[in-house]
Amino acid sequence: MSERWNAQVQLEHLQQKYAGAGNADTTKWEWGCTIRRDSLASHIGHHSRMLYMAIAENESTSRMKHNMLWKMVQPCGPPPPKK
Amino acid sequence: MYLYSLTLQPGTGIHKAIFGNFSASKAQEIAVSKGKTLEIYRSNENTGALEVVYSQEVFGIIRSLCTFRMTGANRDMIVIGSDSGRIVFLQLDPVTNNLEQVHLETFGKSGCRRIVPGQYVASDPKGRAVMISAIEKQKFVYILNRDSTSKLTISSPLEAHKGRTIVFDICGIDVGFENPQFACLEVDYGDPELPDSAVVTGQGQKLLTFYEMDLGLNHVIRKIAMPTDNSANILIPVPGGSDGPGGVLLCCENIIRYFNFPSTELSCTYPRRADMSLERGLMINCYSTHKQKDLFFFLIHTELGDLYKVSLKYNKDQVESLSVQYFDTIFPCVSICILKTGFLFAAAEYGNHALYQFQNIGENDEFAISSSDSMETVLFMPRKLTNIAFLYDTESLCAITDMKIQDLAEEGNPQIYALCGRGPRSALRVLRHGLGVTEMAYSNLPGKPNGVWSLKSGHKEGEVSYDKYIVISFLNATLVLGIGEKVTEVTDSGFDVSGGTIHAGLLANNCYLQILQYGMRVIASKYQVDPWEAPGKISRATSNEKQVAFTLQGGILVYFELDSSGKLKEAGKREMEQEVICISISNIPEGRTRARFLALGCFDNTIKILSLDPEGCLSRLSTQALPGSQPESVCLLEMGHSEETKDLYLHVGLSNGVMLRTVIDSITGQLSDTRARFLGNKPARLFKGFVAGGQALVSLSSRPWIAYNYMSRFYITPLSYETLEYAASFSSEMCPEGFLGISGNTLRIFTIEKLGELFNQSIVPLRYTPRKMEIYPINKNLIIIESDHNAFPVTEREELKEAVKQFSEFRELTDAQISTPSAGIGRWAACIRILDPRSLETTEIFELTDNETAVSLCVANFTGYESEMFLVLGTVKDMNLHPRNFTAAYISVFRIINNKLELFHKTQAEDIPLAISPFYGKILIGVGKFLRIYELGKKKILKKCENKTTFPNLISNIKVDGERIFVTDISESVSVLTWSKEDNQIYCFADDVISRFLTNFIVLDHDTVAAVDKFENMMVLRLPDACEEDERDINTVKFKWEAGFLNSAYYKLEHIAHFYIGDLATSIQKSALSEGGAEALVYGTTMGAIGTFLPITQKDDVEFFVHLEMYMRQEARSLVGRDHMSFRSFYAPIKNVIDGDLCEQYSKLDYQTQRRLAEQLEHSPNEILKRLEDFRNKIF
Repeated sequence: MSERWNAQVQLEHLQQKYAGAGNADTTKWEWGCTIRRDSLASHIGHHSRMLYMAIAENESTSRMKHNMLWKMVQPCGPPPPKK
Repeated sequence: MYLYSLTLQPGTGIHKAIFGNFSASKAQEIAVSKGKTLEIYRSNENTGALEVVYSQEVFGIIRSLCTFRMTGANRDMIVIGSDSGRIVFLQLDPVTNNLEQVHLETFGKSGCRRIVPGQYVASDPKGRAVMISAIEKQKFVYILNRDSTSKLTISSPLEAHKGRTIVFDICGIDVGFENPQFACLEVDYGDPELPDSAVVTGQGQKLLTFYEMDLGLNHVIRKIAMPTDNSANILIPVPGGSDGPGGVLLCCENIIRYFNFPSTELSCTYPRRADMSLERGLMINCYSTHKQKDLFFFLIHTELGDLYKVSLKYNKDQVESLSVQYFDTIFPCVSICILKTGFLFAAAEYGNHALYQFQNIGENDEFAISSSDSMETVLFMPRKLTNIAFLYDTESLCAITDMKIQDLAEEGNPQIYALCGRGPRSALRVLRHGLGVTEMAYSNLPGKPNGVWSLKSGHKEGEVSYDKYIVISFLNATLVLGIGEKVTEVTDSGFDVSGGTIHAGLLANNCYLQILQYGMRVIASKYQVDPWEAPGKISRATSNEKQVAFTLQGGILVYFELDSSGKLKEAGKREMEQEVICISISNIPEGRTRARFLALGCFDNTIKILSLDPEGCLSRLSTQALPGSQPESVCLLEMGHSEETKDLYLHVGLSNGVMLRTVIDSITGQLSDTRARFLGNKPARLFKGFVAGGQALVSLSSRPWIAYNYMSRFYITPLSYETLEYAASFSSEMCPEGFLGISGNTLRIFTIEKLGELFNQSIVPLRYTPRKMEIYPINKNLIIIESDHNAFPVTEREELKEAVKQFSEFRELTDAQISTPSAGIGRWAACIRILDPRSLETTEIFELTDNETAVSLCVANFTGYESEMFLVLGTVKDMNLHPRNFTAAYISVFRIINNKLELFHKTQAEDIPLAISPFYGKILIGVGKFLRIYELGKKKILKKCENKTTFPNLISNIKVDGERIFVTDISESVSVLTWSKEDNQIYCFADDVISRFLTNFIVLDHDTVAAVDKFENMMVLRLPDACEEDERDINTVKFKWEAGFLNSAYYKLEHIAHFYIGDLATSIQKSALSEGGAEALVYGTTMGAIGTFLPITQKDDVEFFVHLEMYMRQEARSLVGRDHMSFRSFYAPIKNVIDGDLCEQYSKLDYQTQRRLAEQLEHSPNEILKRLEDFRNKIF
């Protein structure tokens, strides 16, 4: 019993520590948000990729970054209504 | 298969630049991050020009930079946030110009992750704390202190985390010596379970948050968070304490706000361009602060390239008003840096960077000023530079969108045609291997010279002496030119001008030496000439300050030395028993009385090294045999990166155009470590010169070359200049390190700039962002498609300019100087250009109308029209990028007649035709998800065949090899298909197991493709062997193929090689970069880098480099603390690629480490260096 409880605590600790760590009840929407946010953060971190995207949209890299950061707030639209 | 990765030209695009005093308190320096490379520029004290003092690839990704100055210290450190999960403090050593790690603290996982800090760093202006933040959630604050020995100590990190919070920017606030404070721009997206959180409503609120580092409690508190504009993107700290009011400026769209805790708040709109649409916000890209004793101001820089000066009017701590004043317009930048000596460095987002000089700081300039006292918007249009003046720019290829390597200009060596840049600043850049040369003077001579020398005005202690005479020898005359304000002939030099000169030099006693066929003349002045008659005809001669050696016809060597009384005395004579072809004496090493070696090139194809020591004078020390070729020229030269590592080299130019470079042991005179280099198809002649403060070698063959040391690397590069026959160094006040050259019967004076660069550029400006290009095979012209989203076509742009014609001055400026306003989402401007690569002239610009944009092109010929080549163009009307939609798509076929486009017909397609490829008299077009074969009809192109199984998203590229068709989907890697003639069907039989977002790929051989993707990787994929067998009889396997495997193709591409480049490559090509060079994969990246992957063909080379790389991973530690192996395996494990850039760091290690590694590798250090050089030389 205590062992199982320990595992539970550890999992919770991980979820607390690392945003986006999933659990058995993670919904598709939550998972999608995590993926999109991770990808956006990765794009922002790689300047050469930002240049590539900025060329496609013909915007400055600072505006691209700003738009992407905003997109991280709600990357996959609102959460689906609960059943 | 093993590949050797080598960056030929490192990225030139800048990601961030910061100003600081890194080496000394008054040093004007800039630290520049080029993504993977960190560089330090120092401003020259006299000219202001920026000189690179340090450049190092970090094998990691630099994401943020800031300066940090300890309390009471007089110079700055650099703090770097990178992808290593570590914070690093670097200090520049003022003597060696090397960056040293002061602290390297690990806090998290590596990689550019969402919640691992590194994206932002900020330091407390008083030097007590540093904050490093991630994009989301995590922030750490480090407290910095000194220990008893005044060394920097760093605390363990203090957390300032806030979950579910996106960070937009951070800065350290100047609060004097109160508790350090940091301001952050954040958005809390909240818990999805709560109905009013931003992630549910989509309505976020940006907060300006202050974090206070309580030094007493050793704890960070989130002091206050106040809502602010959602468009805010940059925080600027205002000087505080005794220097100013403190607080923070907040750059939002259209408006700048000033905040000071607890309550001060002011705001001011930016002056606005009159032609900007009202819906469009004006965003600030970057800023720079200027601070001196009694004054501070900020320059902010908009995305259109306008500079504004922001100044505060304040009384003690109370800010009364805020004003924003239009300053000047430059190009869009990622960073600007104000230097305290009155210069402005502008790091361009795309294209060339520039240095400007301040003329004025905007005082009494009423052009366009807005102030916090009135909220009225001030309108303006850009004007000519007024407050700053352009000094110079440095070339940058930044953002290569496409690249072709071919010898279109028919010069023998291929040229690189690179499409670069964005919008009105985009250009086609033609790169040729070679250093650019600046010609200073050019003059015709009365005949064809056979030698040139420059003579200094004399040796003076502690003074720089410049050249006084240029001596030019002809067959039966000599011309002496004096160098003053002008270069003119002089008659009173004392030189014998009646015959040809064999050698001229300056002796240590300030007498000139002239050697003619009949003898030698030592010239003190016109009236004081000491002649010496030779017993025979002198054939070859050489000298340094104290020693003279020459040979007589028949092979007698005579050697003179300057004695202590300043007279030349014969010191030796020797019978060589054969004709001597060339002779060279080395310079006298510092602190010695004489040079110890004399090199002779003899008729029997040998080089002999003779000793010049008093005991055993002219005795032979060593011999080098030259297999199968005669020596043309020899040159003894001391070269090296620093005084300690200097070696004496014997350079031999052979009659077959090869140059040999051999190390001479400074004690025994033994020769070792010979390296050969092919220079051209004419005999190689060698001359001494000066480059970057060190000795350099000018080697002339069918092309002029220069060998020199620069930034602790040895370079041997051709000059982009005419063929020269003779050369000499040249130094005057105007150009301290120049050269003289003789070409035909002209004399030229030239200098070399841009040291260390491999390519020299010619630039053709383009109208819009170039996307793709093709070579028209008939006349080798380039066809380029250019298109810009969110931009006005030229005609509309002209109308727009007309609408604001009350601002007259800007009409004289080009769009490249002032940038274009944005037209709105879904608005396009596009054109097709035909350009002659030889004259670089545009013969046709075909502007697309009706909001159409070109997305693809190909040149093809068609069955039934065999005599013609057509241009097939894919266009889309009213395209939207997010989400991807459009109103119509077309495939147009053009005839090219007299370099003009003539529309043949236009066919509507139902989806975006992003990829077109010729296919044996037909064309293959990727129409959205469908791959189709079309034939050319009279009125339309006619669909003949369509792939049964569609692609997942959008076909992005098609290449054909034999029957095989290689197709990439925009996010699903490569698929391989084949077309069966009998049933006119396309079958897909192989695809990839990983979904890769490929930007470009090439077919290497029938089974193999090399590709580059949007995640900065390069990979090589190969078809399994079984495919070939299957393809022989498609009818029997087609059911098996159609059934597939796990819902995709039957065969899977095998993964042969993988490498993380670190820059996003947009093009890859298989090509040799020089005539006779090895074929390699060449790629170009968005940061403007050009690199290669060279196949390693020998097994022992593989073994050697694998081991060297392994040792180098341990020894050459990354400056930012990134593990090399994990960096090169960023997204997938590195496979079968040797990182040549890492291996080449070997030459930068100290000698002890080099020795140690060499022992472990069972080689000598020189052998290792030679192998590294050999690999580089394979390319050029």
